[in-house]
Amino acid sequence: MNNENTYKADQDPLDALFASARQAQPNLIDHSFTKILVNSLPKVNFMAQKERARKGLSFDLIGAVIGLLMAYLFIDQTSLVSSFIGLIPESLVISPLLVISAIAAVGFSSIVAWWMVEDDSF
Amino acid sequence: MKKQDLTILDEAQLVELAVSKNDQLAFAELVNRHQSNLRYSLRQLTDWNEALADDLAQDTFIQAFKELAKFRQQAKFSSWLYRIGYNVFLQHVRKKALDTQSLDENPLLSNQLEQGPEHDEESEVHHKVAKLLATLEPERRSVLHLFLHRQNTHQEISDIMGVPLGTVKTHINRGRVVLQDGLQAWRG
Repeated sequence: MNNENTYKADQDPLDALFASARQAQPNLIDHSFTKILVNSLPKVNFMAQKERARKGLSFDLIGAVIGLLMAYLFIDQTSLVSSFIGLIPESLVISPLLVISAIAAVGFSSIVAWWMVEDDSF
Repeated sequence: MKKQDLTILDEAQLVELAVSKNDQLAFAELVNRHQSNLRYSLRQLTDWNEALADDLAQDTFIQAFKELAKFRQQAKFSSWLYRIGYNVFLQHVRKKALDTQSLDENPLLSNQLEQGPEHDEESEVHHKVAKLLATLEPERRSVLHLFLHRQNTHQEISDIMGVPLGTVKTHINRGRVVLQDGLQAWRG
């Protein structure tokens, strides 16, 4: 807990209202609430849940090991590395148009990212 | 283990007991420790609808019990519980489309805030806060409740609600303006 917003409590009526609500918060004692709840708890087999999670992890690990082994046996690493190296351009000319395009692309991506984060529908 | 012994255990021990020994009394002790705060928070989020808030609190605890084995001991149990509670509340809102009441759209609301009918002075403040929060859309309402009432930090709210930090800050800034306007309109 942190009271980073309490410093305004004396000045801001909104903070003052919430502060008074916080101070006056009732202790909602209701034994029937807990009783009803405990009676309606479903039967849960926690050990089976843990076992399932452990088995799931084991299958993931086995799959990863088999995948790595197959990749090692069937993929020619030398040609894979050389084809990656072939993708790197030998020379790069930075023209004003390239810089403007890059700035525009970064700007557009930032706006899209911001909009997706702020918009509730995503 | 006897019930009185459970009260001296910390939350991590109670969770461990409930999971490893399937001890429902250990979980009941966790419920006893958190039910008041959770039910109060849900009342604030549901425009002080006590019956609805208690139903949502029951659903929250049942959901928490089902997922108890997934609880990470390094996390705070209350934060984990609030996260489930917030999701239960949001699911309910999506199903029932709980109203967000604007003070402009509903001039009666400002009268209700002013009058605070049939409540004693102490409970009136809780109803006022709940009415004011009801003017915000549900996600913003939850953020403002956690920030202004529970005094959680931006990061804690982001963790509890599973929303980005920037969104939390935006909700707080915009929500405060709406609440301040609402409060001003009510004071008139």
